[in-house]
Amino acid sequence: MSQPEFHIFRSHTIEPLFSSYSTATFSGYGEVAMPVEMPRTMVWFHTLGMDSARERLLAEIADMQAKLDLVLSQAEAAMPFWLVTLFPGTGPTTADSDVEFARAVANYNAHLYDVAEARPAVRVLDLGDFLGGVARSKIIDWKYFYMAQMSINPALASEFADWFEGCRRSIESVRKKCLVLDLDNTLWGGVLGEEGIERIALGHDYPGNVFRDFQADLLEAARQGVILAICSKNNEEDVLEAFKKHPDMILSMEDIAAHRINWDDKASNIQQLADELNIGLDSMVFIDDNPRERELVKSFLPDVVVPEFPERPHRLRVFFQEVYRENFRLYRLTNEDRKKTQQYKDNAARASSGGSFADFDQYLRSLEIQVEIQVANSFNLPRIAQMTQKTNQFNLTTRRYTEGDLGAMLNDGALITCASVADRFGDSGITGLLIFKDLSEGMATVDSYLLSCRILGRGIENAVFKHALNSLIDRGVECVRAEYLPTAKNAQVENFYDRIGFELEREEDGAKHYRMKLADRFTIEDYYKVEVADE
Amino acid sequence: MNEREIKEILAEALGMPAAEIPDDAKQGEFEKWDSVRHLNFVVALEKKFDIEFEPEEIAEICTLGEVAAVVETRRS
Repeated sequence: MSQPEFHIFRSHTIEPLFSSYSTATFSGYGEVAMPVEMPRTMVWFHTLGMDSARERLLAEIADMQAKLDLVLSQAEAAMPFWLVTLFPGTGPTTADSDVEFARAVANYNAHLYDVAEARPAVRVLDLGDFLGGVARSKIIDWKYFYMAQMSINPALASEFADWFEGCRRSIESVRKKCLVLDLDNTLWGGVLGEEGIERIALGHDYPGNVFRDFQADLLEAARQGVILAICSKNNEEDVLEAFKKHPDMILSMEDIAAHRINWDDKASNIQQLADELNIGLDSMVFIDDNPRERELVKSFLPDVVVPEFPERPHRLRVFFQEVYRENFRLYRLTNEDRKKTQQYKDNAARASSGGSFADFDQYLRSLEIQVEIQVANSFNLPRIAQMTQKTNQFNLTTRRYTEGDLGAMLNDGALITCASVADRFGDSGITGLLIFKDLSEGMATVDSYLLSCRILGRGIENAVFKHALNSLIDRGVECVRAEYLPTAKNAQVENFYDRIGFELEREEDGAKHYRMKLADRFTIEDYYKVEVADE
Repeated sequence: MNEREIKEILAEALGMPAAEIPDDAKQGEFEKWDSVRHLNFVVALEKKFDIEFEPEEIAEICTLGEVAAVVETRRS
């Protein structure tokens, strides 16, 4: 298997949004454990729950942040980690216009940016960038929310994929350094050499107001570190005078790092600008309204990015937004190196003194996990059969059974139990199944052991299994056999029995056969409250 | 609209050539047709034919024939 491109920590079903990344792996819902296989990039993509009770909604956001901090503390600092912001529109409508809710979401998002500031490999993806352009009624399809826990409408998948891929490109591509600007009909309307300083369009009426604001955009880009250069066919004297004298000229020549204002071809001029600024052609973006000039630069200097220029002046600003986003956007707020070590240390200290979790055990303890073991009965048998049909990942043998099959097994003396799991965030219902068969003369064989992926990542798999072994000990069983049968989906449990302490007897075609002599009872951490239901 | 067209949509959702999908493929049994890709498939069908399935239907349409039959009734 190739290295996964992404591992996505998620709170809801989002796989359909990422179907273009075939190697992507996903955490369980709300799971905080590190993935078995390290990806190239980790993504934190939690979305709001649909709980209409404000208290729980707010608690959930606080918990999300604590989980994120825990995950970050476990991940290698160098691991690229992208954090997707919360978008209020994915929450329950009862929370609309609720100030406390808005504040909690804003604080959470601000926290993401704080983390990105402190950790160089972290980037923030603003989900509002994408969902802001989607009507409220289209963000969620309730059918898919209630059927499949999808908090974002799967019909948006292809648009989402475009957005996410755009983010990936701009994060992974090297940020450009320099904007090379034409002048006539680019920084102002009209041709300076023909119309004169007074007549060029630059001021407070259309279209001069657009050019004026476009210059303000450029000035802001320069403040953010973009190098501005000019490449124009003009008389240099006229241009310098216009910059000096035009009352609505926002940019001044001081903002321009280098310029070539002459009648030579623009490809040669841009090459010279690159040499003068000591930057590569591949870090330059050339903006010119004249398609011939753009063509020339594209063909002679293929490394320079040359975006299409809008036909109408009023499109200029949205055009620049796109150019900026594609080429210059920073997904972090500050310079890579700025005080990162100290800030990271501060955050770690905050985590241990505040409401966050110092370690995994403490986190698990905080969950108040309750597991109820039920023996198979006519009420839970349909659910048990369904789990054997549907569960693929945490499934040691992947044996599919109907209710009839299970009934027959019960008659043959099999011990079938299921586990219902709850914690302080909710009740997952019956999500685990364990079948022992051939119980005789102190022996037992594990026929099936499976857990639904939504309860993984909390160590419940160990607690449930150890509890079952303890009850076998109570029944006088002395030796247990078990096996792992590989499928395309269940690699994550390949070593499950090794971890529990079974002894590998033999291995063939990937199938592993184990046994274990039972002696002492297994200790189960006290933060799992495992109880057997009354029959 | 026939099973061939539906198979094309399924192929797209599963990310594989239609020729490699057997006519009797069944959701949950045919390896690539898992529950997540089934969702992609259903969403693509809803878009393509401008229909909306009921949740019960989504769980029931597990073969190309079943899909074709349900799409047919929804459109008529």
